[in-house]
Amino acid sequence: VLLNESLIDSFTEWAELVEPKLRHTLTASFGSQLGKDAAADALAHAWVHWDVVSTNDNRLGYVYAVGRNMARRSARRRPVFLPVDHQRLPDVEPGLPDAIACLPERQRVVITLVYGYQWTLSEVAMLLGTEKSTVQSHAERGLARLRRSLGVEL
Amino acid sequence: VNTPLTDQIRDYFGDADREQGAVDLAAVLRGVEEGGVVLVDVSRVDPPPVRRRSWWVGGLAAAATVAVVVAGLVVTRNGDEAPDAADTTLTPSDPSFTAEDALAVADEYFERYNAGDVAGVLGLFAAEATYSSRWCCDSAEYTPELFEMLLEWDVAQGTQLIERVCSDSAQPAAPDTEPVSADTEVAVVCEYGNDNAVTQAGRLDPVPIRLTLVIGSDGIDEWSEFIGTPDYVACCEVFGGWVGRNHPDEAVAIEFGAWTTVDEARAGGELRARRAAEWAATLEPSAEADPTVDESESAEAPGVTTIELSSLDGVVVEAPTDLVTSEVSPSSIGDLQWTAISVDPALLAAGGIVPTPAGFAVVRSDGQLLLSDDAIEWRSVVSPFPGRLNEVRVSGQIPLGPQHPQAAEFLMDTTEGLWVSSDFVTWNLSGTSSRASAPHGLAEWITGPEFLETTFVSDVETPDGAQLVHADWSIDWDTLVLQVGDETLRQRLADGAVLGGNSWDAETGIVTPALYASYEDFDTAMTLGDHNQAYERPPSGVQIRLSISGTVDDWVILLEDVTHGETLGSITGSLPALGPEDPAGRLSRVTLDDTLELLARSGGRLGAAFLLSGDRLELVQPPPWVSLPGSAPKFVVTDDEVYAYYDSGAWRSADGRTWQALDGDEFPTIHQFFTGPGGVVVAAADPTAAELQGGSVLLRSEDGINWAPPSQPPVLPSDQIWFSHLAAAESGFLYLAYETEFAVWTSTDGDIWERVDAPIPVDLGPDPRFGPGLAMGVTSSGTVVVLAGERYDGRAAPTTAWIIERVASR
Repeated sequence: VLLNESLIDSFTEWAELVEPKLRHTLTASFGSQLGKDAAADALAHAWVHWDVVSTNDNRLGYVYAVGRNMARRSARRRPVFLPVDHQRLPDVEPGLPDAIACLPERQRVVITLVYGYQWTLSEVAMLLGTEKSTVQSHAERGLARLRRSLGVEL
Repeated sequence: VNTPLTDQIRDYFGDADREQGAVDLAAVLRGVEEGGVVLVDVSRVDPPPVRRRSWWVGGLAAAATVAVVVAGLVVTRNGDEAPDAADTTLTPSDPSFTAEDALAVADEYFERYNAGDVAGVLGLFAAEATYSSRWCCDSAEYTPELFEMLLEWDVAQGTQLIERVCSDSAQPAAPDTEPVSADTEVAVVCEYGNDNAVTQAGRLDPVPIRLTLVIGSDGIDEWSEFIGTPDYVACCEVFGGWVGRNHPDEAVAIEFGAWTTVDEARAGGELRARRAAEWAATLEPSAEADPTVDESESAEAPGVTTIELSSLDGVVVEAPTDLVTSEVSPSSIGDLQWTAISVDPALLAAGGIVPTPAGFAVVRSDGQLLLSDDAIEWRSVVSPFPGRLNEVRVSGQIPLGPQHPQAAEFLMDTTEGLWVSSDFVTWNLSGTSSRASAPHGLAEWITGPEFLETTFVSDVETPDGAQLVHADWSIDWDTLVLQVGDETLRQRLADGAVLGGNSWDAETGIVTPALYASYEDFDTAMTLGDHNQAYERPPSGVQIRLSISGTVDDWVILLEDVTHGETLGSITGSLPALGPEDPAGRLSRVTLDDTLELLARSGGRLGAAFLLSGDRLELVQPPPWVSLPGSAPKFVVTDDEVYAYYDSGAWRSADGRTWQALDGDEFPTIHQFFTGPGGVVVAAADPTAAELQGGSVLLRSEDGINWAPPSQPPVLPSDQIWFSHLAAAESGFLYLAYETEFAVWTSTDGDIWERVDAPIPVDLGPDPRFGPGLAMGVTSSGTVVVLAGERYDGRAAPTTAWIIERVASR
């Protein structure tokens, strides 16, 4: 049994760097709990296949796809997001998590990443393998839909 | 809640992120190793041949492709033995196996299937093949045994896979979950119709299927179908209902999956075919064309039908009535007719259709300018403007946002500048700085204080950095902030530094044009624009605006009918109880009787309730529900009382002034109310919203207090379906649309619901990963009912593709 320490070091360094973004994307797709679980599964997969993943030009996109496919096997319903804590977030609509969960997946991912986690459009576009204009369109439509759903004007 | 939605999203996910916590990477690695990591020496250069379905082998092969790597990982699951590198189960790659070979296997699959040769079909599969099935909302993995039963069931009922179109050139199997070896497997994608016993007997459209076959030299390794819409449930629902009524003891036996053996599956298929034939014999023949209708007369005086798409925030299209009524499909509602108006999805990808003096215009996402006279037939025209077209819009019209009838100018936005026209013929250059559009990045509309919509703030992301630009009426542009790198800009946006337009000093009443320095200032300041106003909640044909302006000691509360430009009522004087807070929120308007209306504002820092009698506006003692957090109350008006439902309670009042809390520990969490014929109230509710489990349900009440499900509710394919919208037509019909269901349910009393099959074009699109689409809403305007939805084309944004119009028979 051999162990390549340098391989582990490089993986760990990468994983620590990418973990938040990976978790955010999968949370956007599948909700808080399943998203985090999927991120862990995807990182485990990346660890096993690190020699392949490490050569990929879009590692995050690759591992995101892995986590997404893994989570889809478990996902049978709409994503579940953590409820709003009114003590900490008095200015957040209570129905916001539910409304976001009801968005179509692409809109949900874009809304969550762009507005929730402050990703740039370029980052989201690269993750989803699409154009920035498409991401922008998702964002506009998603926000419009959220506003309708929540009945808010702002 | 009076916080911009984007800020709410940011705050919520920031908080949720802390609650969620990071993945424990050490635990992940520990789990992998404890689960069976075996490190083996794979230092050789040549990779071993691989097979797709063994993901540990994929990892091994991939590891070996890197010559310098001296160690790789092989993982087995749950104690499986880890093979060594020379595992004899590996199949050598076959260089002679080509895409043409794979297509030939696929063809053979269909030939044998249609010939009823189950054994022959199964013989095409590799030993470890996998079988999976998905439709819009669910998925299933089949065991080989279940797959065989499926084949027997299909064959026994005479199913034919027809009109198939397979990919012209098969592609190497793309990596999805695990890396695969591209030279040993080929993915063949075929689309076809599943013409089963029910679709054959009922002369229904075959069920559209997209089947992906991953084929290797050892046969079909992966069988993955995606069932389109209408799916099996949708196509056969009417038939299923007939069986349930006439052969209730067979209702289960005829359905898919109601078997445990091959013999049972075969018997189930044969039974299904027999019952389908009996059912078809009961169907009435298709209605013949109405001989009383003079088609020529319609052609001479076509008229125009206007359709407003509420799901697109008011995008309006018009269609010649004769076209609408001359191409009809049978409907299950009496003698009513349905017509599908096809709208090119690409037209809407760029931000919506803009009505012009001569018709309609739109700029596609590829910069192409299209014009139309009727919003149905479109023609491409050469752009008269330099640069790439971004979009055409009406002044004041926000892309996919609200439209304002007072807008009088058209804007043609290009990368070279902004052009303005009042007639869509003569154009003048009005600005050399375009809005931030597709080439640049996020453009954010901010509603300003001086006009109905004035201030446009955009952050422009460029390769060199980002800048913030500002314009009134989107014409004269000023650069406000120029930063290298967009991190700073985003931080500024997050802080609210650029939100708003004017500030209001509560002490002096002075309005100062300025950008807000921080979010806190924004929250406590008061503007005289939209942030100072509450609107009646949509949908509504009339927009009501409640605005508050003035100083602490000199307030004016104004109630206006924006749509008709009328002042409905006002209150002046000192109203210290309201304070100088921003009163933005939602305005609910309820007609209590012929002379009295209740207007309740909530969602801002404080709620308030007003009574409007004639032109007299009266501020009443705030009801107990106005100060509750959360969304606005839902009102139910009965003959002599009004009920206010909230998430945490319910109240009733006879006059809008005094309120009595209703007894009861639980009230339905109501999403949407609708008052139907006879005062019957129908509500879509989620009884388990707190857990976010299950789907929506319908509730019905005749008194606003006692609620019960309808005696014949819509039959939905799964409990995971969520409602979209309720609407009503003047005829008294209620309509209900559910997401993922391309159909409309209708009822005249809210108690008995029947499904109306909407003739929506079926198209899976090239990318079924996100499902074919969603129904976004159903809305009604007189005799016109519109069902709009999103359909994914797999390449770009979801696009709205269907408009279903119900036209009263002539």
